[in-house]
Order: sequence, then C-alpha cells, then structure tokens
Amino acid sequence: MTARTSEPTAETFWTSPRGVRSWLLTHDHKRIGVMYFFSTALMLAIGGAFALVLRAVLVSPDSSLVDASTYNKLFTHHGIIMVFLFMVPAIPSAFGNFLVPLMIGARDVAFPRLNLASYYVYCVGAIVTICALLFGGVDTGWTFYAPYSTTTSTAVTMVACGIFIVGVSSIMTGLNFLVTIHTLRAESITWRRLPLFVWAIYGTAIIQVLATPVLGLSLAVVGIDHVWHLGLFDPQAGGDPVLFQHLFWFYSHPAVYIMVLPAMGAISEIVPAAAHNRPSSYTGIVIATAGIALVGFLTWGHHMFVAGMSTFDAGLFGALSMFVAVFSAIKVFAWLGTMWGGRITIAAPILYVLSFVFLFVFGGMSGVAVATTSLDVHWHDTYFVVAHFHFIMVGGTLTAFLAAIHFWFPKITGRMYSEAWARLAWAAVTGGFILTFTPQFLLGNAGMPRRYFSYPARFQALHVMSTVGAFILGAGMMLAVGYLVVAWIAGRRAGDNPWQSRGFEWRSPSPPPPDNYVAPMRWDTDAYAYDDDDAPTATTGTAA
Amino acid sequence: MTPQRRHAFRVAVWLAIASEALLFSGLFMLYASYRSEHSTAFHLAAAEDVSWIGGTNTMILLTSSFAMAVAIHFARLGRRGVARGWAAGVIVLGCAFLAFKGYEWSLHLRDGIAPGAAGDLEGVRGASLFFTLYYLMTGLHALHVIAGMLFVAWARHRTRRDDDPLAIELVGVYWHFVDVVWVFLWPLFYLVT
Amino acid sequence: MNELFHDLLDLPPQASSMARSIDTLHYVVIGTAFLVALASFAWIAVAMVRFRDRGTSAAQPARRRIRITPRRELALAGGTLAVFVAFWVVGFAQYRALRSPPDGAMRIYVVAKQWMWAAVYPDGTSVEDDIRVPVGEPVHLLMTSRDVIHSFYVAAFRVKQDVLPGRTTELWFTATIPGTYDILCAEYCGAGHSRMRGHVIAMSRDDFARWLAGHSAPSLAATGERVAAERGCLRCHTVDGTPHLGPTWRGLYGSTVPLSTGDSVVADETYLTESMMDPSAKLRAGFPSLMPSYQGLLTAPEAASIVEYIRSLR
Repeated sequence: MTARTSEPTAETFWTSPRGVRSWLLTHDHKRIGVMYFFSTALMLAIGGAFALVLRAVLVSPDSSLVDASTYNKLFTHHGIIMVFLFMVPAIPSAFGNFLVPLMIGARDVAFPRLNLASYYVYCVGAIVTICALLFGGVDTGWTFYAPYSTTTSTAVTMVACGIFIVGVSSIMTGLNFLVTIHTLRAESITWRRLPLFVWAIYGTAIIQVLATPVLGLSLAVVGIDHVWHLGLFDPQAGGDPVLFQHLFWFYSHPAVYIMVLPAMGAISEIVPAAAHNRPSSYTGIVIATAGIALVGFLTWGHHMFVAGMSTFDAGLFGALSMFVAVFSAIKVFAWLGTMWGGRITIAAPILYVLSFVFLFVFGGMSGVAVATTSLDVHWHDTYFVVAHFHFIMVGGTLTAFLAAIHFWFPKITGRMYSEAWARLAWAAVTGGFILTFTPQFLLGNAGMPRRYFSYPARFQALHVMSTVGAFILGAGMMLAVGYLVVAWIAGRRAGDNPWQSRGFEWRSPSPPPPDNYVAPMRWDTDAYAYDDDDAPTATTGTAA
Repeated sequence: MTPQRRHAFRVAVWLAIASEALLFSGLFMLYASYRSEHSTAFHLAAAEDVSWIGGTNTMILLTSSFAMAVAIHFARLGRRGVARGWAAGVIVLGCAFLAFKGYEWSLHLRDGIAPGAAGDLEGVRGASLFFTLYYLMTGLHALHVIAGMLFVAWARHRTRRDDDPLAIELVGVYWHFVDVVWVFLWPLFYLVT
Repeated sequence: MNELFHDLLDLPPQASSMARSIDTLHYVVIGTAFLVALASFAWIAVAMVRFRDRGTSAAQPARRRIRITPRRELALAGGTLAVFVAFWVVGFAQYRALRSPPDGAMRIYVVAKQWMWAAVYPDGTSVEDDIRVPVGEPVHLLMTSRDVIHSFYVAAFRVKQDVLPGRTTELWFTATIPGTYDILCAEYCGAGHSRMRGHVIAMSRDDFARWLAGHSAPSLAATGERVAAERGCLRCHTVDGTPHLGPTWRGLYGSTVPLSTGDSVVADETYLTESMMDPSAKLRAGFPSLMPSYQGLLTAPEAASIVEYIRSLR
C-alpha cells in the first residue's frame, strides 16, 4: 500500500455533500472543526492587528497616535479577543473537533447537533463581544477588576454578556468531548492506548466544564452590578474588591491551562511522528496532563501576591504553583527523550517544535520565577509578567498552533505547502517573537508597569526593539497565511500519510471522507508503533 | 437506542449538573465570605425574609421531587399515562414554588428592599450585600426551576410516542439537582436568623 | 558579579535594604531558567542533526529509544521539584521580611486616588506626589485608596503593594542611597493610570529632619484629638482607661484585643482603621454592636489622624 493517494475525484468531507447549506447545517465534526478554524483565525488576525497598533503607539513615550483612553480600550480588546475568542477555542474546538473522533476510531462526536450549536453560540458571543467596540468598547483590561469595572462608563455589560455566551459554547464543547472520549472509543483503543492529544483534550474539557461557569458567573455579576450599582464589590457597602479577584482567577488561572494543554497535546503527537520514535514516557505525559488539569485549580492565588492576601496564603499558593511547573517539566523531559535516537523528518512541524520547546521552557521557568513570592513583588503587573505569559501563550500556544497547522495541513486538505516558504515564515515568526518579548522581560526588570499609555523616556529603546520584533512577527504570520492559502488551492497532492506517521488519525484517507473511513477499521497497532520502522525508506500506507 | 448511546446521555447530564453546581458555587463563596465578615447584619437581614414562605417552598420542592421519582417509577414500568400524570404534578408544584417566590419578592419590594443600596435596612452595614445575594441566588435558582419545568414538560410530551423512560429519568436527575440547590439556599436565607 | 548581572538584566538601582538580596535570588532563578531553556534547545538541535532522516539506510544511526521508566521519572520530577522548592524557600523568607514592618519604623499615611499620591506624616506635614524619607531608617507606609484599586510601586526598592479602597494595606522599606526614585502606579486604574507617578525622595537624616521641621503643622495626633471630639467618638470612647459604651482608647494601640468571636487581634493601624470603617467586622468581646460605620464620613487623613491620636495615648 505505498501510493494510495486520494484521487481528485474521491469523495472527501470537503465536497460531499455540496452546497453552502450543507456546510452551515453540517453535523460533521470535520466541517465544524474547519469552521472553528477559520473563525478563530479571523479573531487571531483582529487581535493581532490590535497588538500592532499598541506596539506602534508604544514607540514613543508620549504618543500622539491615539489618546490614553483609546489605548486602554485597545489593550483591553486585544486581551479579550486573544484570550476568549482565539486561545480558548482555537486548538480544542478547531483541531480537537477535527482530530478527536479520528484518533479514537469514531465517525463523529457523541452529540453532533450540540457540536454545531456550540459553534453558533460561539459566533453569537464573538459578534456581541466585537460589536461592543461600536458602542465605545471597554477600558477595564481583560481582567475586569472591580471596583473600576463596575464604575467605568464604558460598555462593560455588553462585553461581559458576549464572554458569558462564549463561555456557554466552551462548556458545550468540553462536555461533548468528555462524553465522546468516554463512550465512542473503538473497542481496541483502550485508555492505555489513547493518543496523547486526546488525553490533552480530555484534561482541557474537564477544566472547560468545571471552571468556565465560575468565570461566567463572576462576569455576569460584574455586568449586572455595572447596570444596577449593586455594590457587591464596593467597600462603601461592605463589599470586598479582592473577592472579585478570587472569583475571576479561580476560572482564569485554569483557563491558562485550557489554552496550553491542547498545545502540549499537539506537540506530544508531532514529536513522535516527526522523530518516528515511541514517546519516551507515555504514562508520564498522561499523569502530567491530569496533574496540570487538577492542581491548576489550586494555584489561582499566585495572581494576588501583592493584592492584600495574607502572607500564609501567598506562601501556600506559591508552593502549589511549583507543583504545576513540575508537571510541565515532566512533559518537556518526555519530548526531549523522544527526539533522541529516532529518525527525524526535518520539516516545518519539527522546526516549530524546536521553537516551542525553547520558548515554552523559558516561559515556564519565568513562571516559576514569578511564583517565587519575593521576586513577584518586584515583577507583578510589570512588563515581566506580560513577557512571561506571552512566552507561554504566543511562544507556547501560538507556536504549537502553527506546528499543528503545518503537521495536519495535509491531513485536512490533502495537499502540501511549500517547505521553503514555510521555513522562511518559521524564521520570521520565531525571530520576531524573540525580538518582541525579550526586551519586555528587561522592561519589567527595569520597573516598567504594564498597561501604560505613556512611560518614562528611559524605557524607550527597549520599546522600539519590541515594536520592530512585533512587526517582523506579524509579517511572518501574513506570509504563513499567504503560502497556506496558495497550497490549499493549488498545492501538490500530499498523499494519505506524508509524514509516515503511525498515528490513528492518519489511517483514514487524507482528506477523510464524510464518514471518516472507507472500510471497517482494525486498530491492532498503537498510535506510536515505530519499533519495527528501521528501514528509513519504508513507507506505510493506510490500514484501510 | 444502543446502550452506548444511553450511557452517553447519562454522562452528559451528570457533567452538565457538575457545571451548574460550579455556577452556583461562585455565589455560595460570595455568601460565605460576606457572611463571615458581616455576621450580625446577615442575621438581622435574614429576619426580614418570610420564613413561612421559605418553609412552604421547601415542602413544595421536596414533594415535587417525590412526584418526579414516582413518575420515573411508572415510566419504567411502562405505565406511561400514570407517569404523565405525576410529571404534570411536578410542573404544577414548580409553578406553585415560583408563585410563592414571586409573592415574597413583591413583599420585599413593597417594603423598599431591592438589590443594591436599597437593601441596607436603614444603615445596617452589610445588609445590602445579603439582599443583593438573596435576589441573585434565588433569582438564578428560579431560572433553573423554570428550565427544569420546561425539561419535564418536554420529557412528559415525549412519553406520548416513546416508551423509553430515559428522557424522563434524566430530566428527573436535573430536577432533583434544582431541588438540592434550594435545600442549600433555604437555611442560608431563612434559618440563619 | 552583582554589577555584571545587575547591568545585564537592566535592573534599577539597589536603593533599599532588601534590594540586594532579592536581586541575588533573581540572578539565580533567571540564570537557571535561561540555562535550562538553552540546554533544551541544544538537545533538540543536536538531535535534529544527528538523527535526521538521511533517506538511505547506510548513514542512518541505529534506532535507540530512551525510556523514561517510573523510577527515572520520579528522579527527574523530584530533582526539578527540589530546585523549585529551594527557590520557594528563599523567596518566601524574603517575602515574609517584605511583609513584616520592623517595630519603631517611621509611619507615613498614604492616600491614593485617581490619579495622584498624597501622604501625611505623623507630625501633620502633608505632601502630594513627592514623599520624602530619611536614608537608613525603616519607613512604614499605611495606604488606602479613595476610589479604585491602585498599586504603590518603587522599582528601586523592589517593593509593591496594591492600595485598596475601604482597606488599609501596608508596605515598608529602608532607603539606603539618597536620591529621587519613581513611584509608579502598577494596578490599572483608568485613563490617567500611566500618569499616576510620584517620587520617593530619600534624604540624609539631617536634611530630612530640617525639611520636616520647616513644615510646621499641627501634629497628626493633635488633629486626631480635634477630629475625635468633632465627630462624636469621645461620647462612647474614653481616653483615661475606663470603659464606657465602647472600649477605652488609652493603651489600646498595640494591645491584644479579645473579639466577640473568641479570637483575638493586635490593635494595629489596620485593625483600628477597619474598626472605624466596619465596626461589626471584628467586634471586641464584651461590647455591644452599637457603633455606626464611618465609611465615607471620615476622610482617609482624618482616619489616619485618629489612629495617631490613639497611638499617642500609651
């Protein structure tokens, strides 16, 4: 079975059934995944455009490009769009939808109609959130700290409402994945053989189902308070503004793991497939995934070391945060071990893995640094923290998102992009990223607080470097969009399994037919069976 | 329906309930924090709530849960007509609960106790927090009662053409959850005086 | 070594007693982070060269597989945890020191509002945006906000503390080098957030004493005595040691107060301010809950002056 490439005439999920209506009302997890992909990518573009405007403003210590309140709205909406409309749904809802059924040998998710509904609920939430811009936008920062958020005159309620709706969509998706993974696994795909990406989605889904309602509630309370002035967090009435921070971070810290666990899952799939090597510790990665999902619920207080919590609590949250970091380290060890001694396909996906590991390890270690209570006192709310979470969210999640795009592009489209252009874009994205955010670590060290429209002139040189980097990063992203679109339309046919991966998702044709499989499937080898793969030229076809 | 599919629906309902429980937990946490900070005010404010209404509503919901259990029992036996009757009883009791709740809200509003600063009982610091939480928590719970009634009505309608008791069983689980939330709200707002 | 890392990491001057030791931990933690990230990068880069797919079987190194057995896994995780815990132990010890103002520190009351910093000294001197302090003497700030949350941040001292409405938060430092250091607001507080800047001006003790003497104002305790009389505090609280409707103020400051809940609390600035703003929150055992809240009735400087007055009654 060496070259059973999909014929152009073969039925794929793209073309069967035909018509716009069949797409809009589809129950096919692959089509819903693709629709999620385009929607979240659009959000990434909008959020990215905001980021570039912000960087342009920050070139000068006293910019005349926009005024202070416009700047405040820009960074608020940058954060809201990137966190709630891109990061949280991007990998779980786009790649998770496309891949999870294929990886567990199912024909669809457990509740296809709920899946489609979650997409439209997401769209409604995204539209409400974005439309708030037409009503002047909000200027609270994406964290909505009371009492500023309950007293500002901007459109807080509308944005809170939009995020609440997106949250409902997130819960629906998470619930659907949990039920799917529990009930639709092919008989021989046991828990012990579940692909690592599916484990990551499983952990993510638990957080989505259990943490999102608390966020929804705290934003709903802020939204209601903003309209009716209930004073629930207002000290004048006996309320406590710090209590809002507890509620908010109880979700929003686990939400960090909603954003990063699927990214780790994607890397855990790409590393064995690119290195043609069995993961050096499957169990370790699974345990670490569970550990992050569970202990991640107990670390929210490390956002509040200088907010006025007791010294004892600060110490406790600091210590618990160290445990989460150890779970992340276990995964890094497993990836490094897997790379050694394999047969590595040097191509865009592994290059992104290279960037990911470097940026994620440094970003993660900077997280250990800010969890070290005394150091956090200096760094809290400065650019150091901004750089830290962008290393995780952009250097980690966005890089993994790009790795996933480049790895699964032939799976989804059946075509291959230009490797040369891909490497150029990789260099621009990685280089641009490092140039953008390394100066921000130094700005934080030097004492530059975040969310500053104007700043003391001594910080200017580093800001200019950061802005140059941001535009290089932006150019790299645009380049990637360009060659990927070209490849999607006119790229060469990639074959069913261009990476010669043993992963379950590659055992159906690429792109898959509407029902995922052309023949009954047997899953007698596991997803990482590279032990017998010693002849480098050997190619493996599908198991169909 | 395959056993796998039934299993899927069961898991889904329990996950949805877990998610709902976390939704309420945020408000319970706010209540706990403010209660410990303003315990006197919370005692004074709780005395304003009409305890006979709270007690009656508890009885109503407990009875409705019993009716729900009976409806499920007969649906399993295949006696769909009887099951439909008991399910109708659940809906009637739900309406009664909402009527009492609405009556109590109207009494409060007549006395000038509204969410926010109006609920401070003429200067008792922290009392307004109690009433804001009272309106938020009982309001959110009332929305769940309404949703629960709609689900029960839907499942009841299904039994006309479908002898599978699964729908009414799962709706029953949800209804019990709504009931249990009230069993927690009742002492917090009526019995702490 | 300190100089090199200090400049490499672009840190501000080490102008407080804590700055040097915090920076040392900073070097160790960030140095470790950088080395670990670099080592991971190098590992993958080497693997990508050595084990790249060569296409023909002849040159391809034989497949090897590193298995991370449970035993190795535990060793790796344990080793990593040990390093992190070491950071935590040192960091938490420093954090506790940062959070524990030494006895006898000079107190300054700070009020933040959109978008400025105001401060009152115990002798009644009040300043805006420029807070003068003596070098070599611990300074204890008692801070509150009039509107939203702000954060008092002096990078050169490596200290930061959120300033909350309706609550008193504390921060202390000992300036070691005379100079002018920026106070920056670090918690987002609206349109003027980035303009909410002030200065801490550290002066030699003599200069500071001269400056303070140049501002003759009624002392804060004297103001407090007047405010307490005007606002009716003394109708329930005595100043001679006899209990009345409320506890006496004599000897109250610094004493351990039994609470109606059975707990007890030290009557420090935070407790006294809270008792004015939220009297029933920590009710003293044996006294009825009669006192109304003075939230919104007493300004922050007035509350501070009453605290100073109580403090003077020792």
